[in-house]
Amino acid sequence: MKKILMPLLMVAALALVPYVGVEYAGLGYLFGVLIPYAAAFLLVAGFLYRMVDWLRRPVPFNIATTCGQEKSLDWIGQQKLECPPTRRHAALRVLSEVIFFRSLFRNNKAELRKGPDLAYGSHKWLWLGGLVFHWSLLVIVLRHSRFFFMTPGPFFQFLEDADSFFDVTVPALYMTDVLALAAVTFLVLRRILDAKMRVLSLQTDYFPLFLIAGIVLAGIGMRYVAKVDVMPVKVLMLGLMDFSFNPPGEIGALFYVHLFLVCVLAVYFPFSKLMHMGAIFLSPTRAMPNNSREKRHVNPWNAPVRFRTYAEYEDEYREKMKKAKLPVEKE
Amino acid sequence: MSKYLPKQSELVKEFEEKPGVLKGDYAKSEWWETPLEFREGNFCFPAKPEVLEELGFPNPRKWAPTDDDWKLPDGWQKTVMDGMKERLKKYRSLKLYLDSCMRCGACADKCHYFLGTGDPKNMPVLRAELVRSVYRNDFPLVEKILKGFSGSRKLTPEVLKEWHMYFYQCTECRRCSVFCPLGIDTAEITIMVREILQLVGLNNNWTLAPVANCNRTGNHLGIEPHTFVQNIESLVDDIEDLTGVTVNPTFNRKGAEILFITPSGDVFGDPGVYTMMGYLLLFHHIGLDYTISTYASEGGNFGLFTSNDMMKKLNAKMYHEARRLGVKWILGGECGHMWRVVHQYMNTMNGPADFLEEPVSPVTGTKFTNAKATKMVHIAEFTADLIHNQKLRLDPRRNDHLRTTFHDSCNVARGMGMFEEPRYVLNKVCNSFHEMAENTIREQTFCCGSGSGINAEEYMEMRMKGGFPRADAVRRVKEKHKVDSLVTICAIDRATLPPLMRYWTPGVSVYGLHELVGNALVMEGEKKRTEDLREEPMAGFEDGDDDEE
Amino acid sequence: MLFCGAALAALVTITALRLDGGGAETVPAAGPAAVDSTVCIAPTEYMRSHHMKMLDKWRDEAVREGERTHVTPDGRRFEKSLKTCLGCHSNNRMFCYMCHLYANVKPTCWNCHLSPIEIPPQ
Repeated sequence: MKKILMPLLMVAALALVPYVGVEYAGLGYLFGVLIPYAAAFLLVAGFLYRMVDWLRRPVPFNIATTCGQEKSLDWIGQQKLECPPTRRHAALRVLSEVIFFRSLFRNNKAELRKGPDLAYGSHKWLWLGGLVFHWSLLVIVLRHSRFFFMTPGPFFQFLEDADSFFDVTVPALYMTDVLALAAVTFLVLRRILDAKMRVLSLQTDYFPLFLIAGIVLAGIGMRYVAKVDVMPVKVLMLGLMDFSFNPPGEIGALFYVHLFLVCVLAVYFPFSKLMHMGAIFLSPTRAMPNNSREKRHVNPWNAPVRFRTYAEYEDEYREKMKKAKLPVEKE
Repeated sequence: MSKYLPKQSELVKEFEEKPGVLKGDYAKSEWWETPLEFREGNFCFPAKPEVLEELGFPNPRKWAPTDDDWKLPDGWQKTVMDGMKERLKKYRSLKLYLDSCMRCGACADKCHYFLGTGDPKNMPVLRAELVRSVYRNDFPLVEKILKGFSGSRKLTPEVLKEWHMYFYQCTECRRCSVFCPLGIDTAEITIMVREILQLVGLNNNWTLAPVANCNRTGNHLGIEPHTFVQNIESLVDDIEDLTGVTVNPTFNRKGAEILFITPSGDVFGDPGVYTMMGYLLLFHHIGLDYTISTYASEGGNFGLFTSNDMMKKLNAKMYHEARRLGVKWILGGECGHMWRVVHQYMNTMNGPADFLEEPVSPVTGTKFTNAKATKMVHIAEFTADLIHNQKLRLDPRRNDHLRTTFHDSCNVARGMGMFEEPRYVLNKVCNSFHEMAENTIREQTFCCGSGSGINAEEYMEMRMKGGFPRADAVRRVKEKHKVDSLVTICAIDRATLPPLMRYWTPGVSVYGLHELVGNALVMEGEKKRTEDLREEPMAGFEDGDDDEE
Repeated sequence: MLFCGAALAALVTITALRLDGGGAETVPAAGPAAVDSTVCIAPTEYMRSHHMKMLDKWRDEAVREGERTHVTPDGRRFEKSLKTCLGCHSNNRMFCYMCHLYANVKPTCWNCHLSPIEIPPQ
């Protein structure tokens, strides 16, 4: 299948670039310093640009999607999270999406059987896979702070300890490494095996999954298999955090593969569907309170529209109205 | 049976034998390579030229979707792209929803049109991709450099035809939006695309003719004031025959406390008229000081299915008339999309309604604080409050001849959050109520299949397919609990569910909530009731059975 | 039931193996290896990235299998013991600590062994 193989080849090619570049062309400075700076800049600037670009577009109407009982008569119980009466509740609703993937938890699967008959079953695999995927990636990113800060705070230390709690293998196995890899495998497989997913998926859906899988594999490889000396890595990272332009020390090529794929992800991020990270906070159907009858929502461009007034209506139908004994304004 | 509708057995065969992704069969080609075919039964007739001329809409002409040449205006590509650009500027929702979909597929099997047709392009994600693919091609994104990669395509006449087909197979019911982790609302995209299609003269007569009528006469059916009054007066006569009580609705009366607005389907259509009789009985029962307007005689608003400007234009009459008549607040009848407009758009578009007062029930003194800005109260809220305060004399046994279930209307459910009020009322006016399956009610309710202005006779095949998930859920509750009455609070439901039930679930009739209220109300000075508002015998109240009051 | 049985069997086997390894510990090794303090047991580059693997392997082989002698590719023999390392590297008592602190790595060696920085300077 072209749309699966193409992104896979792209990621493989991207992984080869720094390997060849560092191993055979001695471009450690390019891949270790210049590209990471450029990527970080593009990530931050791109992300901000996209957010601002969304935020400056008006929200003309309050279009909250209500998934529970609204505020009504006093004695009717409300579902304040599913149908937020205030901005605060709407914020909690969005947070429940961000943290717990609440809507995906609702997911079910429809099956058309003989009859014909539609059957619905609970289907929380996507919720579980998505949750594991995102939370693992978050913990992994936070855990990396040991490379970015001289002494990461106690919270990061706790994450690190918790993540390596089982203390198997040397160095200690991180649970999130395994979970992220398992989740990304699941997310790829469901796109290939489920008939609906296969037809709706695009190359841009496989690419970030393969890219993230590549990053995770390179990272795992560095830690457990083809080991890389972490000392010059930390020197380089601390240097980057200080905006220094010192050349990197002797680091294995696998590290450059890992770093370069991260840079690709960073650059790709703001210009792709990965921006759902920011969009989820802005989605009008979720982020708005369902209080549009209680509090007037203002549309900044509320376009004037000419409508047919009562006077025009009466002018056309006055005689008929009088015959029907309807009161009229003008005789 | 309509010539636009295959026999039920043929459709069943198609459901069971045609392979499709819904059944796990892999698609043979990519979705953008799948051709589309217009044929009788799968399109609504385009708007007649005179309708477009009356509305001042572009490109009036005679054409049909089955034609090769759709007679698009010169420079239509630019019109479409400019239209899209303009809307992207004006609506954060559109931009956000085109940009941020992950294609996670959670919405895929949530659309009733996908479940009923098995057509991949009816998965909400792909419905939006029809537009996204063009959007990505022509708008500044880095992805556009890698066209094959991002799955983008040019705006061709075929793409436009595809939009016309699939954005009229979306009923703006928003079920997908409930399941989407980002809350992406396909209805929002459909509304925008339909607006854009209007710009080049692609439309549907079943939507635009009512729009033109509503603009001119005040209601969808184009009923002029005297006929409107006559019709309600004939209902008054029917009520008198049935109950012996004379109700006295007034029209265009200045100084009334409340203006009552309901969809015109309740005044003219069967079975909506029985719901209207229920309202009239209720208002008489509590001695409400209300009036009905012949000018703002339409609760529904097909502008919602046309363009936001048209929605505003038609909706403006409500406040305009309320101000002219000097009423304190507005009471709205049972309707789905009408309440989406009233609840989420009206005050923003045509408010602030500072000439009205915060609604207070004149009977119970209850303040409707949830409607204090828009100043329009839903009849189900109003009646639930009356019942809760024991202001109604009800005999639910009068509905013992009905075994009911309740159909949540999409817009009231997902665009308003009204679930408990109608259920409370229903449980107080009848003794036999059974819910449909969990995945098919409340926020997960299925559309009747014909909402959003596609309730056309010539579209019957698609409507029966799109309505299948709803009908299927009714069939199950019918088999389990012998349910024979489907109660709704939506005028479009009352028009579209009867043919759907006849087709898939014969033996189930469709009722409005206030029809059952009207059956149950014990009116002062009434004669012995033996028949319900449909003149069907009530169980246990037959003639000669004297142990009842 | 079947699962419980299997788990129990596995547990017994593991315990037996461990006891077996423990028994091997009592067998005396082929004498302490000679200490060459001028060259490390492997190239510095390799040791920087792989010392934890080496120590882990040594621990398993020495403690569990009683195989206490490490032979380098060039034929030098060392006792598989932290003492071998510290024989040279304890001249700087911060030797382990510095890097581990810098890289924010917390090795488990010092859970049992005495760390050089815990020994007061003489």
